[in-house]
Parts: sequence; structure tokens; C-alpha cells
Amino acid sequence: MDEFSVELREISKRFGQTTAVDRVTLQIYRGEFFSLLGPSGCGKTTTLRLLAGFESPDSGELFINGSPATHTPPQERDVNLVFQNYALFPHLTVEQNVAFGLEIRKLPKATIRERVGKALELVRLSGLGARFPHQLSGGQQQRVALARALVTEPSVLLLDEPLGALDLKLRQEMQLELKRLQRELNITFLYVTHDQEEALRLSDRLAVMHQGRVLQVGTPQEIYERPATRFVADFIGESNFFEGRVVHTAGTRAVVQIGPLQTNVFTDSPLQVNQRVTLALRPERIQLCPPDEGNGTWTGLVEELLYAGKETRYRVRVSPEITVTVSSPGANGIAVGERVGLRWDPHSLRPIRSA
Amino acid sequence: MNVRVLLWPGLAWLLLFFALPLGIILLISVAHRAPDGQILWGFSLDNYLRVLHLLSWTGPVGNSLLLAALTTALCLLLGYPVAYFMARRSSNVKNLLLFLVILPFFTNFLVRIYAWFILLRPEGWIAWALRALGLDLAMLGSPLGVLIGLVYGYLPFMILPIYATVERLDFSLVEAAYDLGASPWQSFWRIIFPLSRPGVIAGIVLVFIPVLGEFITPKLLGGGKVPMLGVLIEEKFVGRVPDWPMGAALAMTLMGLVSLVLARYFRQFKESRWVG
Repeated sequence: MDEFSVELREISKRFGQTTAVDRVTLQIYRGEFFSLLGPSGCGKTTTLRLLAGFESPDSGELFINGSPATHTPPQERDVNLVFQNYALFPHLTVEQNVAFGLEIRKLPKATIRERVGKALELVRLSGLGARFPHQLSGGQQQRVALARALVTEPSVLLLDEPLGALDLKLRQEMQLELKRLQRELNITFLYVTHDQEEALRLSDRLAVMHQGRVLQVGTPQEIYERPATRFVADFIGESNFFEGRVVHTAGTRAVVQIGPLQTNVFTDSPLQVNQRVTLALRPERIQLCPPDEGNGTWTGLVEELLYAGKETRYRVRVSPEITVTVSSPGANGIAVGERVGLRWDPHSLRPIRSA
Repeated sequence: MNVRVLLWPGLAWLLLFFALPLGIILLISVAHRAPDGQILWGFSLDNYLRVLHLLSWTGPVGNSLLLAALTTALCLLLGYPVAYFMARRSSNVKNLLLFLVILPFFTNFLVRIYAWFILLRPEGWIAWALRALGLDLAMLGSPLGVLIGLVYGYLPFMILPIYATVERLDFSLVEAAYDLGASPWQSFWRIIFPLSRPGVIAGIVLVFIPVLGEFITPKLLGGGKVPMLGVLIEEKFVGRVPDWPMGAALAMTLMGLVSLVLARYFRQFKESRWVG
């Protein structure tokens, strides 16, 4: 059990009529970069606040470093939180902010000075110690918040959308910075975000949350390549969804009828003939090919075309009821109204639960 | 048309009803009192020398300073927790409590002080209850009675500015302090109190300065037995033996004291530049 840095067992939290966190069970390994990903109001921040000790769960159990922590006050938890708005103390200098947790622990002055210096160096803010938070840029404030939370050497760092207020360029820079910090310090990062790209890029593993529940836990690749539910497939990246019926099976291979069209699918769990299935297909997994090629390809009419530099997005109508979104790199010289063929690896087509 | 034209009415008002009267008071303060009580114009600092003789901790100036300091301290001690409690309620409760704090202003101040006069009488029920507890305290006509009246009268002026600052505080800062290991007590003294300092200073100024010049409360509840600067000034102007030049000198002295306090206040304000 000790291998888990954080463990939640069937944790629930209600606010009045709404269930913010609904029977969430999670196991987060020591030294892992773990993300909670979901749209706003999905319960990810509440989960984080439950871990920090600012909320207490209505039911379920919580373990930090293997010890029960369900009712431990925030002061005594070996976790620190980086607040979304940074929550820097405005009347204290950068140094005093960072020193706060050490002063509370009544460490010797020399030790405090040394550790504050190291922490500021770690987040590359040496030399700005005498400034007040309002004299810093957003990115610098973010670094102060990180230094303040890291200086007391918690075993878990909780981060609540820490990059939410930064512009894109700074965000990408800070993402690299966070990843570097986590590698260097080798402590568990529990990261809350609604930005799917950020979660995929940073995490060792992530949990996708929706309406208070954890829908899927896995590595970025697992989540992206094998989304368990329609919500996950739609929230992480983008997907075409096809509703169909199994017409033929042979081992792990199945043939699914979608409207007037058919396609091959490979699955881990065997499908039954006549079973209804929803299939998800990423737009970037579809290739354009000459029309009417047969051989499992579909043919349709380009209805819409959006050129965005590194990729072009097409909406192709393959039957009166079915359109397919395709994303392909660069420009292909294809115009609206043209007939095109669509081709994909059957392994890219994922049957999903329709939840 | 220049927008500065809009300043003129205000400036004219200040000149006519502030600067001019102040100049007149200054002139009177360096004049003499004729034996018949009239003003003998001239220039001498005799009145100010007489004021200097009054400067002792037991005289009216000392009394005023001590009572103003005590009143301010008690208002802060009583008012801060109330303001903090109010600021942390839901917005409905907040508005109700705010209304309750302002409610006394709906009644005339004099009427309310008379009410205290009745409450604090030796035959009143407060004195009766205290006697039952073995405490025979003279409240009317004593500094204690004046203090009670002053604290009562000026408490809202302490509560309101503190409430206004605490109400705007970002309480995620308290969570951040807890998260870093601080106890509620530590987070109060290290975070909340320093951040509410502008409100506390405003409250101190709003209580200390007017109490320094108060004359209604000490007159009614002190019964003439608690000498205070305000009472003395009032007597010099409208008492049985008027002495306007002395009254004017006293008034100027009071203004000097107030200016000293204000200067201190503005220095504090400059130090707390991180606010806002």
C-alpha cells in the first residue's frame, strides 16, 4: 500500500443538492505526474480541495503516503497546494512568502535563508526576493507560488489549474518548467486542468472526470487511443462517432454496418452479431485517397474545408445521414464539392460505451 | 470650458466656511479677554501659555487624551471581532448585520446619551445589578460613565471601516496559510490582521479624533466632574464666565493634537502601499 502517494477510496462530496464528487477511487503512485482532467464543474477542483484538507468528504476514505488522512486538518497533511490565483500574501515580499511555511515550522533563521534561496533558484527567481508580489508578472507570481509550496518539501504537490491565467507562450514555457521541477524533485504532482493538451503533454497518467465521476484512468496514450466512453473520446481531442450494428464477427475482427456503409473493426472484447455499437474515429487517423477505390474505403463529397496552416480540416458527406470530419496535414489542392475517398487503419476505429 | 470650473464652488465654500473662520479663531486666540468678557484685540501668546499650564495628565487635556486612547482601544477590541464576524457571513446576513450597526444613527445622538444617563443612574438597574454582585461603582459623574458612553457612541465608527477592509480580503490566503502549516491564530496575526490594517487605522482615526474633542458625552454622563478639553472649550465660549480668547487657544491646541494624529495616520498609509 505504501507505493501509493495518494489513494482515494469511494470518496463522495455533496454541496446541497449537487454531488460534486461521486464515489471517486484513485491510486496515485509515488513520484508520478498525475492529472485530473475535465470540464469546469466536473469535480476536479473539489477533489483537490478534499486532498488538501479544505473540504471533508461525506463518505469514503483518503490515504496520504499510506496513512489514513480523511479527517486530518490541512496543517498536518504532507501536501501543499498551488492555488489557481496563486494566493500570494500581498503584504510580504517574495522571500517572506517563500519563508512562510518554514517560519511556521520554527526552523533556525540560517536554515530558512538557505532553503528560501535554494527554492528561488529552483524556480529561477534569484534576485527578485525583495520584491512584492504586485511588482511581479503573472509568470513570476506563478513561480513564487511554486517555490512557496515546494520549500517545505511536501511529498505531494497539488496544482489547481496553475497556468490558467497565463498567456499561451508563457503557458508552454511553464509546462516545460513544471515537468523539469517534477523530474528534479521526484515528488508526486497532482495536477488539475481543463486543458486536454496540457494534461496529455505533462502527465504520466491522468483521470478524466465528468459530473463528479472518474470516467477513465490511464496513460495519455491509452486515454487518447482507447477512450472508454463517448465523453472521453469527445473531450480528449476530437472524434467522429458512428452508430452501427455488427453484421459479422471473426475472432477479434468484426464488420459493422453504419447506414449504407460497412467497415472493419478490431476489438479487445468480442462483439456479438446484431449488437449495436458506437465507433469513434479520430479525424487525423483518416487519409484522403482517390474516390471509389473500394477495398473498405468510403467515398464522399467535400462539403466544407478549413485551412489552418499545419493542417486542413474537411467535412465529407459519405451518405445523406453521415458526415465525416477529416484532418490532414498541409493543403492537398482539394476543393469544396470535390469527390474524395476516405481510408483508415481498422485498428484506429474504437468501439466505445455510449455513456 | 475648463472642467476645473467645477472646483470653484467647493473651494469658495472651504474658503468662506473653513479657512476664514479658522483665521478668525486664530486672531481671537492671540487676543485678550477684557474684564467685561469682551475681546480686546491685540497680539500676545498669553493664552497659549495658560494652555501650557493645563497640560498635565490630570487636567482636561490629559483626561481627553487618556479617555480618547482608552475609548479607541476598547472600540478596537470590541469592534474588530464584530467586524470580522460580519464580514464572514453570507451576503444576506451581512446586510442585516450592517443595518443593525447603522440602526442607532436613526436616533438622535443626544437622545441616546440621555438614555445612557437613565441606564447609569445610581437607581438604574445596571447599578442595581452591580450592587447585587457586590460592586458599588459610581458610573454617572465618573470617568467610567463617560468611557461607557464614548465607547457606545463611537463603536460603529470602528466597526464599519474594519468591516469594509476585511470584507474585501481574499480568504484563499487563509487557506494558503493553513496549507503551509499555520494555525488559525497564526494565520490571523500573520495574514488577516496585517492586511486589515488600513481599516484598523481608519477606525482609530475616526474614533480617536472626535472623542478628543467630545463635549456632549462627558458633559451629560460626567456631570461636570470629568474635565475634558471639549467641555472646557464649550464653557469658555458659552459658559457663565465667557473667555473667547482662551477658548480659541484651546481649540487651536486641540487642532494641533489632531493634526499630529493625522500626520501619523498618513505616514502609516504610505507604508501600506501594497494595498490596492
